[in-house]
Amino acid sequence: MNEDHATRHQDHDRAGAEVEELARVDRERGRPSEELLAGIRPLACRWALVRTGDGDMSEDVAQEALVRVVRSFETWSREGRFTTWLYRVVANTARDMGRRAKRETERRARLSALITPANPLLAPEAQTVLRTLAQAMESLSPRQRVAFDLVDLQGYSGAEAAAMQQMNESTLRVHLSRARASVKAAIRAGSVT
Amino acid sequence: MNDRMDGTEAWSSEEREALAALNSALDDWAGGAATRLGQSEEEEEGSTPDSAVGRRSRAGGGHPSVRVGTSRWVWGALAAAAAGVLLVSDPAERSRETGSATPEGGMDPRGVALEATGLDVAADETFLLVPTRDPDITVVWILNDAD
Repeated sequence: MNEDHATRHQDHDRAGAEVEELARVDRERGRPSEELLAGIRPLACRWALVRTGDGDMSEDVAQEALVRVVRSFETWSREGRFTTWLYRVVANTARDMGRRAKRETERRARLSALITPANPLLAPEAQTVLRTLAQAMESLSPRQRVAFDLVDLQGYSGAEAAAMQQMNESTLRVHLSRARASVKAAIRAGSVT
Repeated sequence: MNDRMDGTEAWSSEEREALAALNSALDDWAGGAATRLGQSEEEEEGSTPDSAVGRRSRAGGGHPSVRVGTSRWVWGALAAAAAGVLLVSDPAERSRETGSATPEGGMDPRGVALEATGLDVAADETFLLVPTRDPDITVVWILNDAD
């Protein structure tokens, strides 16, 4: 594992452990605390963005997902990881709201547009690759995009990412492999339409 | 492939740097979005139940545009808005939004459809559903004890 990936995973582990602990305490009390909701809000936003590829919709999805967390908190089994359950809530919310959104023709804020301009501290070559990566990520299928985000960007293990998406690990591996191939092909091509 | 399916050794150093930058950019965006949602919550803090109004955006048929609050009322408003239901609690709002659906003409107190919105209704609270001429919008009247 390289240093960047290891660091990202350590950060994710630390933040994840805090959320898990808060969730377990709140579960005893029977309802999620403001602290827990504040802690999971960025996660919900990020997962919703990657899941939908749509900035405007992802905020609606995250908002609705948090409502569902409050409403359904007692259905979370403490034997499982809270973040895995949370991911399912976000994914199901995105699915439900996505069906409604299909009726809309309004142009929405796309994922790649949300992360530009690129970090000015990056070297120009890296900025080019970043833009290409964002566009390539946007062009992936939702499952490929989620696998790429959870494993390669956020540092979840294959087992964790598979559990979050309720798929077996070998299926996740296929999605991840295709995502990596597409992203690398896009980088080699230098641009993505 | 190890437990982490770590294929990053396949990436060049520039690509790894870009992966990290992409991850940071996504985190930055998510943090900003979370802050926006959190600020909406703070704005709603201290509001009375009767002022908790979730309004479905009519512009472009878009998603519900609602203020986020922490009270159960506001969570209920959010749930209703997400279900395509307009929550109205102010009498003046009622007359504007319901049009011909006046209490005399169109009130539907059965509460059956309310169940479908997922609203958490307490035993001492009364909700009334009023269909409007817009098939996508149902008005929910919130009637507290004072009403």
